[in-house]
Amino acid sequence: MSSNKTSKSMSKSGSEVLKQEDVVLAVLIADSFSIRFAPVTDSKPKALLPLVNRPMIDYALESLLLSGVQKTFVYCVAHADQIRQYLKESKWMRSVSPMSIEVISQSPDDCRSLGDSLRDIDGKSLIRGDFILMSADVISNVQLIPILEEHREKRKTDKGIVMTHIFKKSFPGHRSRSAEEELVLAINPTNGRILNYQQTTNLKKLSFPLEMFKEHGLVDLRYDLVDTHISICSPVVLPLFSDNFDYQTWGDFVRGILINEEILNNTIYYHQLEGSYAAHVSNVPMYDAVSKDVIQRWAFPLVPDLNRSETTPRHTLSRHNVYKQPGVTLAKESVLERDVAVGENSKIGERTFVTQSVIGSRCTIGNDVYINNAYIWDDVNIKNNCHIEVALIADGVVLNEGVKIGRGCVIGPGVVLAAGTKIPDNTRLMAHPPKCDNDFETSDEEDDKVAKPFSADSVAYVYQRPVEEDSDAESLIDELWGLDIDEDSESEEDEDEDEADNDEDEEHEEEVDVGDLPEDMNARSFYNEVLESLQRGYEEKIKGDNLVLEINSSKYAYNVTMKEVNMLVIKAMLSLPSVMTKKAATGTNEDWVALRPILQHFLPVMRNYLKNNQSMLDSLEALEEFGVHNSHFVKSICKVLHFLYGEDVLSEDAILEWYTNPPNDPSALKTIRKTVEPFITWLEEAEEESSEESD
Amino acid sequence: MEYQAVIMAAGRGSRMTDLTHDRPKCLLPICNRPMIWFSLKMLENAGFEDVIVVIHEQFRAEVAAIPSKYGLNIKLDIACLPKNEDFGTADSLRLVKDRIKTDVLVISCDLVCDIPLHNVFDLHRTHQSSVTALFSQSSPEVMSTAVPGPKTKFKQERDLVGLDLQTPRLVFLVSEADLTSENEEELSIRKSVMKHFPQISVQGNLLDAHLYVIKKWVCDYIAENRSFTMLKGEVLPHLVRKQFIKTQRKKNEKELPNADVSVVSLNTTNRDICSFLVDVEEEEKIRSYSVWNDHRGDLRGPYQDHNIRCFAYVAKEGFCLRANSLSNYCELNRQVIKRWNTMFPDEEITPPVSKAQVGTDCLIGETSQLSDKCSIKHSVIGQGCNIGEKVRITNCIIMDNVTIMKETTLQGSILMDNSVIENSCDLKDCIVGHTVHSNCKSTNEVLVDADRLLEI
Repeated sequence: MSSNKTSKSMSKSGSEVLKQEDVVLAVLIADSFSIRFAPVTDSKPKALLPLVNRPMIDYALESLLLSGVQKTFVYCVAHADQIRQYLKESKWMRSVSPMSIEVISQSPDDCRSLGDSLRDIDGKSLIRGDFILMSADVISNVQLIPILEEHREKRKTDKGIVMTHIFKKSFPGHRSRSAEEELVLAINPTNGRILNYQQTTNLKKLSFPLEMFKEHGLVDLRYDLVDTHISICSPVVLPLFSDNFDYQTWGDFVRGILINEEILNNTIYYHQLEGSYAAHVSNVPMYDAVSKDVIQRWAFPLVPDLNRSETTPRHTLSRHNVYKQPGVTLAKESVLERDVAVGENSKIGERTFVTQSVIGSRCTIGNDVYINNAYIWDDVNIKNNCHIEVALIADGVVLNEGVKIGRGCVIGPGVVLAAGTKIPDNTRLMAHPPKCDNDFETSDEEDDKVAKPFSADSVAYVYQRPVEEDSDAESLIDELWGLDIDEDSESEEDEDEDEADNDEDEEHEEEVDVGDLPEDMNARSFYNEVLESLQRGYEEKIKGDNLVLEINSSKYAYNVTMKEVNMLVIKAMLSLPSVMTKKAATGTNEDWVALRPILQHFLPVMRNYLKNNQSMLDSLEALEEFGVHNSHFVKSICKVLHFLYGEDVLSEDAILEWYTNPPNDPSALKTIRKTVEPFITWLEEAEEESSEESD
Repeated sequence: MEYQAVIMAAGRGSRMTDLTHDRPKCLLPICNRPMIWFSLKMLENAGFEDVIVVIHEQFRAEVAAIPSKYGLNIKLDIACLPKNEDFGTADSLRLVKDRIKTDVLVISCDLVCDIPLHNVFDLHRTHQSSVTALFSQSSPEVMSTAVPGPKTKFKQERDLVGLDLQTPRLVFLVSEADLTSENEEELSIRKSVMKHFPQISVQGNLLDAHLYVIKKWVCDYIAENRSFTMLKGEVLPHLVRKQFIKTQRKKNEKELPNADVSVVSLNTTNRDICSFLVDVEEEEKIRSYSVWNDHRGDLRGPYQDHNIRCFAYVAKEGFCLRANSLSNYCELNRQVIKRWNTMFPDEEITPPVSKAQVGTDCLIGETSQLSDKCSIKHSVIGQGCNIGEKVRITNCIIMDNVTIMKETTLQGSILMDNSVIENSCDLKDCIVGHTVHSNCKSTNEVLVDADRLLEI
């Protein structure tokens, strides 16, 4: 229906009928497929969250319009109806709008990533020419047409160009760098081609293939770039996504293109912004940084006092970047120090101090309130003597007298906090109890404990982020909001430097000694991966079959031999107790007590790998090597053998054959072979007996 | 005297053994001058009045005679290595440490270059650099020339040089050979290094001129640390890595009061590199009082507060080549003839009067005799040579006292001193060191005396 409207508007406006190739097209993805803003985004799409009193999608559309885009497809997933509704009522959908907009919505079940949405767009075959791909949470004042032209110009010399991605220079430590989107690019400085792309958030060391340096005499390694989430795409990008179902994110796409470069001859270029602004609101700290940039006018003309929106009135600007919408009431002795924006009809009480903050519309703020670095949305009621520092407070929150909110808190919509409540740092609160349907691990008692943490009068529940695969690193970064992280990073650097001081031989010391780990890096990383899978598998009680699948996929990823798989899996299992408890084996009975349930759990895995005699011999070899390097383990080796024999994982023949073969390491003779001697004799006797019986 | 100069001339030329069995590399002729003459000339042009030359003792007299023979004013201070002993460049520097009083320029005798040295010194001075190295964007044509002698898989030695884009700091230095010998397929860089230097330009096609300006304290450090043998292979990468360490000042202060005593009395082999730094505090003070900064983008002080700093001067233009392999040696001969007039305007060469067809880019020794009907192109001919009729010489290096009889064709070959080519030979890409009999046809061969071969 909307498309009808837009086509009408096109003809009405009298513009000549254009071929689609000539129209400058943009695709705006109005979903970030992440839960960085939860619980705020539980009820409201991220694109409609206010940034300096204006929905984020407005900034994105405004910047597209300013750079001369003629048609935009807005692709919505989560809360698509709200976005559709908003756009319908906004100026964007009116017939006078110079940019036509078409809303495409898809249910969140069918579309879980950027890749899915682009595949969907490809399926609808809406786009035939070059297009601009942008996320709705991008704030930018970039003129995109020249970059589009540049992209087309490059195609004349390089037919394989699929994408020009836009980066902004921002040195390490700058606030506009998102800690979770750190990246390193290797580019060819003569033509701007991207040669290598790495996300570096959790890395300490970066590795680049030597091939790349040989092939291109000159390579620039850039750590000072920030991904703006704006790219100029050739039409071939869409089918590329369709052909590769494993491309979920932009990073997957780039890596895939670079890996298949020789086969498909596709290339990606980079464009570095000079003098213009672009930033991606990827998480709450970035929301903070971008809001400040808007207030401090870096994103001009996207500033509060040049607001072209019709729904929200313009701010007036006074000195020290203080913006006020009409109807703001300031009581006596209240101070708006600097970098503050206040929405319409908000009231600020006596002696209240506000600095570097945004206050939404219709807010009531009492007397003697301290607000520093806070983002307060619409209809918030803050009573006297509250203290807020570095926090995000969503719509309709009520803070009663004397509430103190710790640094880095996110208060979800509708939360009511009783008088005198103190919220610890980095808490996320929401107004309704957490849904338990997918949180299988939260038990009822736990819910009762955390549901109303502060007082009976509050309507507030602690939001717990669901466990994600790589959550530890990410949540950590989120928690850093508002904390003074400089010292941390500084000290980390010192460590690094000290490390650099030591000569490089000592690098492997962190690893648990599990015997002679293969020199070959592949096997080493395979081992680490297996260890991780097993640990998780044990902690989360994952079924053996799934673990086998996981291990097999790692096997292919690192290209290790079957023998190595057998040996390393066994070694990983044996080292699991010490890895999990971070204690070395003690040499007492406790080792076996810790190890037994683990082996019990992994029986199906072992049965899968140890099917024939050779594989059993491999595993015994691994057992022995492990014993040689962990002298305390020797005590338990008999028990392990007995257990595995009893469970039919290891056959009698294999054990006896292993025992008759000389060990690889002569020192094993004395220790391990000796300890297992009684078991072997027992085995032999048992065999004789059984053979006698059968006779 | 701000700088001293050291020429490392004790190299054996291990990559061109066919030419260097009877004389050191530094005395091999390039355009009829011994190789070392070019280094001496360069230093003289740069204003040096004396130079320390490190050489094996048996060649002392020969080298000492060079300045007077070719009219150079520079004074040689010759340091001798015992005969038949191999000394690395760092070892050699250790040998002459007592003669080094200031910052020092170290060059290798096989360098021919017309890049103005004052640029390198300026960079060194401005940044109080610990080590400054000269790199040149090598000319690609060098790679493609045919090499005389047996065909070998020719591998140009390359380094991966990481340079900061904002400042000419050397961020890392790895030789490709090292990486491939360790079977590494990846180059790894610490993230903390990238934090300090977020824009690194990695250049794989730079030529390391083996020209280093080294601070006095670094020389002391090298002298103390006996484990170093080579400047390029060990010392430089080591220093580049040490740039990122934090200076442990407290330790320093403790040592300072009796520093003079400790140097003598203590076993100094394990002294920390930072304890060699001089005037650190003063320099840090100056840095902290100054508003100047060498980079932008973070709040760190100038030079990221590093006290050890390595810089690279990358010459965009100018000629620079090292005669460290056979192919480079040949190429150097060809290139230097072409550029002779611009590189050495004060050294005129007078070609002998003859009616032979001598093409451009040729250099012929004054005492050589050419017959009327021979043709010579792109070649160098030494002193006292005798070239017969209908001889065609293309792309050759002919050393002194060579006799070539009539109707011979020579192409791309090197003829060593006193060799004789008889009638009607046809040699292509050969190295000749003795008499070649009539009607010999060879390609890509080494024709030297049999007893010499035995020696090898």
